[in-house]
Amino acid sequence: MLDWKRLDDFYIDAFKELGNIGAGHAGSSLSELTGKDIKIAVPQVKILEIGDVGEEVGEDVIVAGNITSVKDDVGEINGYLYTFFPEEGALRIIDILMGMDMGTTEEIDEMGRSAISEVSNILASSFCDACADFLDIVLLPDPPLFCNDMSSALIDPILASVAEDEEVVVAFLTRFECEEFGFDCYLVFFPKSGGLEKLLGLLEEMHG
Amino acid sequence: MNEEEIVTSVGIGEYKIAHNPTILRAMGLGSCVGVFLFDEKIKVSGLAHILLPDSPNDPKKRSSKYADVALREMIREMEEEGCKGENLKAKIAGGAQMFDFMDNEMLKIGERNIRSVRSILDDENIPIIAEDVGENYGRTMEAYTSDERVHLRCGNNGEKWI
Repeated sequence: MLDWKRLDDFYIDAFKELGNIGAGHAGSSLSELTGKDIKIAVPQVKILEIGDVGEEVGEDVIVAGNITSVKDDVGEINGYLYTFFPEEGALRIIDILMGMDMGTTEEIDEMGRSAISEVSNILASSFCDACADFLDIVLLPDPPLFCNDMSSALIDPILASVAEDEEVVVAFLTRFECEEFGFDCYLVFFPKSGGLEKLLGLLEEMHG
Repeated sequence: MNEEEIVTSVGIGEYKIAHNPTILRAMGLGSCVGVFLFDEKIKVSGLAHILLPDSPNDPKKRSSKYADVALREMIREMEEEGCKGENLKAKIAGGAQMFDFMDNEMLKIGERNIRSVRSILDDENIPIIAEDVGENYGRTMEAYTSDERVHLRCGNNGEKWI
């Protein structure tokens, strides 16, 4: 099993660069979609033990977002991408996408779910695009599943699925900023079955 | 509530045993199951935060992430503290199905966890006197060891005592 404590600054910087490319892609797609100038900050990167993800977000925080299963075209790297927003941010995303005044949306209805899924989709594809640019791998996302509950409860089934062979996840923390509002956004990659090790190998090979 | 509000957090894959009035808390149980065991006579109790059902048949993978390992170790430690097997009772919560569509293994994990917990407690002759399991929402479980009441906060779905 991977000794994740050996993940030094080189990997963190490489992931940050990967996150930065992804954020750039996502920012322009979102601006295009909404007609507003949406900026996504350079993500912070954290390598977390899987049990600590909930705590990082705030375990009791209600979030909305999506889970997407991703795999590469040769079946070497796979895992789950979890994109989510604390609920207040999710409500503002709905306002932005639906062209409503900030603060209008108070709960997440069917329409809201699709708005959030759309944004999650953009984030997930941007992550995959960044992997293609930066690591020359093709990651294919499955259709996303919507979720809206306590952050740590939503992570459970993913943990259950990866915990037998992985110990850490790669978390990208960023912020959306548009003219009227800013909010936090999380994108967490849960590698599965040795996927992280292969990803790190690629980082070394391409950028070491 | 006038108990001393000392909270002991029980993280995923852990269990904790308490001798004094405290609140044992398992945050955000999704498909995980919280198992609260207590001996009313001598006021020793424990809470396990279980991630997975039965452990694989590999000693290297033995870990309290698994229902069988966590529960059997917790019961043994509680007995070392003076609990009597026949006095132990259980309250359980969690094991939700958080997503509608997932590959099979993941879809069923909450249900498999509950089934595994039930069968182990049954083996050990520990009755489950209260439960709130399944459904599709997360729960934060707080067990008050002074009177064995369990409080559940269910995300967007209100709260209750069991």
